Amino acid sequence: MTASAENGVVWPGPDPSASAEELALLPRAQSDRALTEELLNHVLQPPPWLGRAILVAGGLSSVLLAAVLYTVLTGIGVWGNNIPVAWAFGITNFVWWIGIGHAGTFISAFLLLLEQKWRTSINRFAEAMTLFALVQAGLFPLLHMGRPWFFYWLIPYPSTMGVWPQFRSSLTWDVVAVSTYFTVSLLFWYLGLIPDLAAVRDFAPERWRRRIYGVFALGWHGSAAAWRRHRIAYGVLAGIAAPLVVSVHSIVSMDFAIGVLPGWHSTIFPPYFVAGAIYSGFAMVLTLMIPARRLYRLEHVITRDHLDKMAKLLLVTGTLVTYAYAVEIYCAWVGGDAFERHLLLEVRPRGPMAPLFWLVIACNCGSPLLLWSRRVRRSTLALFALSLTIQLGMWLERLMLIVSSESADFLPAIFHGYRPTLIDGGLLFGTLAFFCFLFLLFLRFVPFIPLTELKALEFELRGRK
Amino acid sequence: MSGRTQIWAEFATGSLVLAAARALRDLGHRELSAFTPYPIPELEEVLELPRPRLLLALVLAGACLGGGLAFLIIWWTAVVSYPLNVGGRPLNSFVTDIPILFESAVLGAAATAFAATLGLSGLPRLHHPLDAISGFERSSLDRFWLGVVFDQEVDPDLPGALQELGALRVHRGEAAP
Amino acid sequence: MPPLARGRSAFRADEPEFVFGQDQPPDELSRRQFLALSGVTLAAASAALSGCTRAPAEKIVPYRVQPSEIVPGRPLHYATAATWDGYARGLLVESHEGRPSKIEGNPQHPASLGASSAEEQALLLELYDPRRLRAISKRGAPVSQAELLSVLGAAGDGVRKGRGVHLVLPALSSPLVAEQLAELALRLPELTLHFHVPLARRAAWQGAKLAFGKVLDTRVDLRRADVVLALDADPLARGPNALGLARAFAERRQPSSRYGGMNRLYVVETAMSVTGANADQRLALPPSAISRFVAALLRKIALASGGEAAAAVAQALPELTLGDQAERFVNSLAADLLQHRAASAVLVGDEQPAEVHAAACALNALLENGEHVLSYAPPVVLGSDRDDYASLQGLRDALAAGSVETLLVFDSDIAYASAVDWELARLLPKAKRSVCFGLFRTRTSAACEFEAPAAHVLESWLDTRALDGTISLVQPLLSPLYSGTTVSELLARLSGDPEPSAHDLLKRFWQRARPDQFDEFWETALARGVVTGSESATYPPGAPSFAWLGGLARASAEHGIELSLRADPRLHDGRLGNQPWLLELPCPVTKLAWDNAVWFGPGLAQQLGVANGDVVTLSASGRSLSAPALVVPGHADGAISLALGWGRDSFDGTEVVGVDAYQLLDSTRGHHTRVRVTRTGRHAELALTQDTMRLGEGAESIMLSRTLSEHESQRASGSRIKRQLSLYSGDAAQSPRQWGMTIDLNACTGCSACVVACQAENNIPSVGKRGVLKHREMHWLRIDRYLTGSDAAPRVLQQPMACQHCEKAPCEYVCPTGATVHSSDGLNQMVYNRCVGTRFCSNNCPYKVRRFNWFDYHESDRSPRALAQNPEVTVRARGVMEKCTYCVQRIRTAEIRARSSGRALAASEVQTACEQACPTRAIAFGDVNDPSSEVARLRASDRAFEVLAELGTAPRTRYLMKLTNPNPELA
Repeated sequence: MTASAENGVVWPGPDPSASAEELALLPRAQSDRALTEELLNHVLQPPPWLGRAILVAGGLSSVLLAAVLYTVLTGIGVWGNNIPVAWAFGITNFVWWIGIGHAGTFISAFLLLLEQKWRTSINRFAEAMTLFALVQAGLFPLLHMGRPWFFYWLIPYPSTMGVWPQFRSSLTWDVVAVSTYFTVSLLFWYLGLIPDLAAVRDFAPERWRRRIYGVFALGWHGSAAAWRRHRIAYGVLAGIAAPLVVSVHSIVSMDFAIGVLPGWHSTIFPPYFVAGAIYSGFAMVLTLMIPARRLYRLEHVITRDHLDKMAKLLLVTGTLVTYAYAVEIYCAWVGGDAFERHLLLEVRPRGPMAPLFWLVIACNCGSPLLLWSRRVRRSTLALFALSLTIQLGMWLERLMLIVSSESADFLPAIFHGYRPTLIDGGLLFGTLAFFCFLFLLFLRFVPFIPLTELKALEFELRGRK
Repeated sequence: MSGRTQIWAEFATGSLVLAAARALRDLGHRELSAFTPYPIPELEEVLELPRPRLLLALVLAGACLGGGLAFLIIWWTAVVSYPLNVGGRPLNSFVTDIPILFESAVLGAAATAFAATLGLSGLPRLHHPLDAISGFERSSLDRFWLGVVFDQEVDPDLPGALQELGALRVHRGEAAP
Repeated sequence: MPPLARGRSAFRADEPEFVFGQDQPPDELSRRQFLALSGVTLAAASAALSGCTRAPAEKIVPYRVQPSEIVPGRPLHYATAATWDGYARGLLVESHEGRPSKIEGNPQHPASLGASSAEEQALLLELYDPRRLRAISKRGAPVSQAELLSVLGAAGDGVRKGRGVHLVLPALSSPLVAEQLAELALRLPELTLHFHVPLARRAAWQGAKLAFGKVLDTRVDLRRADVVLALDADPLARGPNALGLARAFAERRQPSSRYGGMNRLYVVETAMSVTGANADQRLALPPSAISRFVAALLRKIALASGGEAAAAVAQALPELTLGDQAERFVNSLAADLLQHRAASAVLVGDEQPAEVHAAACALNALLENGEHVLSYAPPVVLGSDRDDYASLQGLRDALAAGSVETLLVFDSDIAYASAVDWELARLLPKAKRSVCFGLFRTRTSAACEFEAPAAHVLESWLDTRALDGTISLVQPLLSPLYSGTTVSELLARLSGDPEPSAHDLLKRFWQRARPDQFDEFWETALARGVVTGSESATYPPGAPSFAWLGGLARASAEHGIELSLRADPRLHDGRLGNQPWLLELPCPVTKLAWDNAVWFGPGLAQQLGVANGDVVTLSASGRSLSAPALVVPGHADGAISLALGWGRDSFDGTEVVGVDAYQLLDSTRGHHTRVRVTRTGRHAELALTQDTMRLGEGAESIMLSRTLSEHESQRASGSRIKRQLSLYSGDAAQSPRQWGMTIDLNACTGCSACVVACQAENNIPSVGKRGVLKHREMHWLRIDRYLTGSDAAPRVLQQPMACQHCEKAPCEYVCPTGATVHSSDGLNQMVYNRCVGTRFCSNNCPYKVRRFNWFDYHESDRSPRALAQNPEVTVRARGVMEKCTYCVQRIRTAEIRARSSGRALAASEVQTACEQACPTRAIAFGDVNDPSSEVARLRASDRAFEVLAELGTAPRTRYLMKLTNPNPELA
């Protein structure tokens, strides 16, 4: 079909009910036709650089493959871990990646429930990020095991050994939490995607494309009844996903909180970790969004207002995290537990861990203060830099939390430091590359701006007579 | 040949189809249906679609099933099948079950919600009768279709009325049984 | 980085020294390399691995009353004896179907009393060492035995009377060998005999000779000594009766000892020693100052006791000034000694000059420490009466003069472990013919014409004597793996016996010695491991002479920092070769593994700007040696010290471990010399297993230590140690028997024998220096060491730390697979097969006693060394966690035995490996529910405490508070 089929539809003036601020979210009035064409063409005629980018990312991902193979074939000893520091990079990466994922769900679920219209143009982005982050996160619990080929022993199945998993351990909780989280995120994402896939199906000129997208669209036709069910189910899933996010990172935090170690054995961990997770997640959303929006010329869809709002959320979560740090140290100070005092008042701020500690404070507590300034919030460059700083900071925070407690817990005789190896670094780098690879594939094949939702928003803001 | 016929009208915007639906309902037509590129809540009201109670019920059931099953597994493995002294903790330590119970409930709910949504809408399906109408595929892009069912004779004035309501074209077809 | 080092690691992986690279991943390459090993190796290795070690042809007699026939799967124990520096220590060797698998001490033997040291444990590893000589070779090429025999024949040719034949033997006390040597002296009167003893007791003997006119050994019964003074001596860890002394000492550490109250130990030494770590009052002095100190002490005691001694001393010894700290020390010491006349002991280390030993003799005499405390007897060691005992000067001169026709060296590395000024390494080739019998290729054997395998002690028939003269028969556990020769066989050949058999030689000798009821004697002697009633008579010394006083406290005019060359607490003089168990055993004092470093006092280190790991060069009279420095709190500041026995040459391409301190040992100066210290600017990584030696916050919940008086006042006031309560109700399904352990910190000397015993019993791998540097050592039992007080004069607290078997174990509830759970009889069990290696248990263990298999440590061991493993204990695979099991294999074996013989299990029946090895009986294990058991009694003691009790882990292992008995005057 061609644009000629478009016969002049007179667009009414702005709907008085839509506030100026809301209108700013879609500054340019566009017909459904125009929106469809613009957004779907990203999929049908991908920009030339994309293919090359995918190749590069794929190539770099081989680092991950190599590191994984080497680790599995020779033994976990190729990492820097030791006794007492039995967990280090592996678990740090796990917690960090999970945290990244949370922002996606938060944006798509929480903001949906709160009827934040501005989420519309970025939520699929964010959800995809969640999924791919979870893929990376999922790697590490497996890899860090001494015998990864027996990972399935954490799943209850009737075996000839007649034994079962031990469900008092937070590691079994992790298995359930993470797998649930991944499944729900996937369903949520896919449910929202179905109408858009149908759109591609019906829009794509080539037959084969129609076929393929047709299959994934599951034969969706937007009958009013189907839309109603879809809307409600989507709402329900959002309602489920929102508490899920909170629960998942709470459980992750319990990998430490149920331990007896000073600095781990703390009731503040769940909220503390959730805040930190969403904090780093938002940072990651910005990191991905800012370049994509530029590359795809989407400044009118993902506007500075979007960035501004994201920045404000960063500020909020950043403040929460800072508060958590403060409370943690204060509790140690008044708590009077000798070992906790030693760890939080000596080892971390003044001991061998000090540089790490202060770097974390600078990145996670210091840098977000810049966001009080509107100019920073609206400058893409500054935001991009900040988002990277914050992600680094959050990664270091996890490392600091994990390693410092292990390396100086109770008996001074077994206090030891930790030195990572090249393999440790390779795994982290590899997952980053692999994450980019997956994300680029997503940009290539999936309508990454929710078409139908955008049209609905357009209609909501301007469509009514 | 059921003898039931259905008139399909294509509109260019959501507001037009909404207006048309209202008009038809005022004319006393009850069996209305619509296909739109995106959800239009008002339209759903006009068409008087019922609340999908079944869907919600299923979701609730899914949650209970998930949670319940999880508890049974944990309790049975730890207390009945292979009781072990683990750190001197009670065999049935419910407190430590809570996280898993919650997650499992969520999983059950989400899975059923997804399955029910598709199932109740008759998805997945490979072919839809309306695909026969040329240009109907634009219903997922930028066109809005409104359908009216007639038991016997079609009201002769209707097509004209639809034209006036802004229909780009009107199509006469056989109603799905 | 592992991948880069792969080639080398692979080489290590299967070459005998595989352990050095053990932290490197084993890989395919290593297997191919293994096949590339010599056919002999392969044969030996594979034969060994398939478990077909041959039992000796002759009848050997198992220990005590056991069914002497082999029951498959049930090990037998055989009594035999090892000989260190000529003195016997009784062994009890466990043997599975003719394969020795564990060494214990022989309870019947006076020098062992059932205990064993790390050295005895390591004998097992030495037996199976893949580097052992396997064939006779000439200049490195295998030759027939005939060729060697012709050389021996020529040497033993009676016509030539042994002219130009030099025979070097290690220290021996064998009656059989004594007789053989006598015969040989008649047959070959011109044969020259040398004894090679790197760390001889010559100075002690000569000291006694100065004092009493006769070479004598001192025997002490520390149970009778209220006050003990150790002068640069380490009686609790070294010397012919270290195990016995440690036991006696520990008995007197108990406030409720039946020999009288708690004793008081004064130590004056240069380098911190095991004994020094247990001192109530310790004074660190450089070597030269020690003799001055003794002089001052002798003067005070003599003047106090009056008589002609007083006169002699007064006119021979001037009033010496020591500096006020030493002054205060010597005053209160003298007072204390005089207060406990006839109930004290003054002991001196072998490295001290003869005069100091003489002074000790005099002191003991003046203090009337008679027979019951301290007695004298002629040494049992062969050749001890020779003035040139242990000196190879004669051999050196002969070699230099080219007058050595045939040199026969038996089991002595004279080119390595001897004074450097003898230059034996250079001179050895001057011997026209030379044969070296030994277990390994050594610097000596490499320089000799012929290399021939000697028999290992566990392969030999011989006899040997302990310090008190008690005779033990040495019986083999298996016939020589590599057809090695024993010393008796060599001597027999020299006296013309064409086909000597060690067994027949020994049996015939004793038939002559004990003609009546010989068979009964033979059987019982072999079975018991000792010949009853064979102690030698003591020698009443009479009044000491003081003619030697002039030699005491000679002020030295030399300059430079004093260097004290010590015996290493683990490797002794290096005779055991590089056995990984010993190399990886952290030094009891410094916790340094895989190295011997130069010890600096904190003050001197600061003054010279030396820090841990800085490589320094020590140079003296043209010779120099570079070694890493280590700052040791409590080390005397005027001096530095370095351990002997390290830096042995490596002949298999693996790196040399430590530095060879013999390079600085000068026969004219003895063990104390003066050196110049220069920093090289280089830095070496030191494999310290413990970084932090100071107890920080929460000290009192980790370690309890009080002085005797504090303890008594506390007891009087009735204040008790708090016990934790638990929120959880008692566990279900508890069996009536509940295993538990107590460790008496007051008895533990920190000697670390238990660590190696545990390693031997439980198939614990060594991870090599790199492994230790990465903090991946696998020891299930470690000894934590804490210092209090100043760095210059620290107090030492030591705490053996293994799995505490917590009743509310934090490791258990965090394991996702239930791989660590609790048994009904109170053991914290580790189910290797179920472990997936998440390591959460280790994180959550407040005691950090769990160990992880980072690599497949055992897979790479295809050498005979694998034979040393205990068949009762699972060998852990890669990726699983492991830890102390309370020796569950021993528990279950005992239970099964009891059940099959239909009786109840006795409380004393189960001994853990560490408990059995412990010389001081610091460790008690048993059923805590059985009121009659030792462990139950000790758990209830008012000194018993739980480590980190406030965590609510309810440990099954309890510790008994350490007590010290300082001199209030010096406090």
